Amino acid sequence: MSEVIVITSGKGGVGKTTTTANIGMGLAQMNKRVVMVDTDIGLRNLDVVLGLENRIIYNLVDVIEGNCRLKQALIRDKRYPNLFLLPSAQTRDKSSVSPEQMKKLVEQMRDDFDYIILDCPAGIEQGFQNAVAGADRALIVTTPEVAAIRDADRIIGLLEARQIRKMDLIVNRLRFDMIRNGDMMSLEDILDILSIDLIGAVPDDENVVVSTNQGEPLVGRHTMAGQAYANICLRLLGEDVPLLAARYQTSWFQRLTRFLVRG
Amino acid sequence: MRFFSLFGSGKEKRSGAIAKQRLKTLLISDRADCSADLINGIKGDIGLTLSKYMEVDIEHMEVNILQPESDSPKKGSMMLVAKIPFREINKVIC
Repeated sequence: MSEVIVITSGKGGVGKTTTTANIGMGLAQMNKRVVMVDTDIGLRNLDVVLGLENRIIYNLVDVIEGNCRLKQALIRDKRYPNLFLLPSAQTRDKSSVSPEQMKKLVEQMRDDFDYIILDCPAGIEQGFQNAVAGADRALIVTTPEVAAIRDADRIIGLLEARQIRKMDLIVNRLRFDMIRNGDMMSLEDILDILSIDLIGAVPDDENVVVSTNQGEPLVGRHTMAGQAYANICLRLLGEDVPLLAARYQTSWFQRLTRFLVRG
Repeated sequence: MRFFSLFGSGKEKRSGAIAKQRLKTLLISDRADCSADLINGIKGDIGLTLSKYMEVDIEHMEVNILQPESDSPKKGSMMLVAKIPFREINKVIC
């Protein structure tokens, strides 16, 4: 049984592509058959984050237009043989694909993969409509900023109208030092405002920049973000993993005081 | 600044709290946003229904969609609030 997951946010630059790359690779590390689809036609990015940019021959639009077979366009990951990428077209625009065509393409992949992960473009126009057309569930990525959360709220409304079965929130780029000082909205603040389940909290971690520079996603590595992404993958598989973030949101002093008070 | 605020009046709001408050206000207006046509449709239909019982001043009717305060018992669901001025109750039907 396969699951089609769209990764979306509304606002650009909050980490959709990084999230897609890490979740895709994380699920592959857990021995799932995974394909990641870059649905941002005209602005191809996912291949670069994965370090697969030199292997592209055919793309999503080629498959849809029948210039090649699906198998010819799929790029096998160099690290995990059960991980694939369907790259987007760089020289075309969003109107090259319709939601119906996208849905058909996704259905075509269901037999061969456990997880089909769609990296959605920013915005709520055609690209977004295409990406969400064939999805079973959605992961909404946001950051602790007013504009990003506002856009996430709008996206949640749009997805509810489309009857997406399940929606979960990923809060990216949390700075626990700033939360403790009261200069950043906490996870509780965000969840209080957006009525949606949280599936992961990813700390702002400079290792993400390093890993993107290298084209090597950091999921599963011993870094804060790497662990956070691995935990999201486990939760997607249905495991009950406690939030890493919960302990960082309070200072060591607060934790010590609580511990002593509790006795 | 943080250091001094420990001893200060503590009145100054941290930016995280400011962000949360701004966001709350923003989302109320975003979520309640619906087209003027829809509001006018609701207004017309309510006026029409009520005109059976009273002489409604449709021109001065007001219809708004509001999000209740978070401490209200009806938290979560939105509210349609209408102000319907009328001149006279139709005694024949009542």
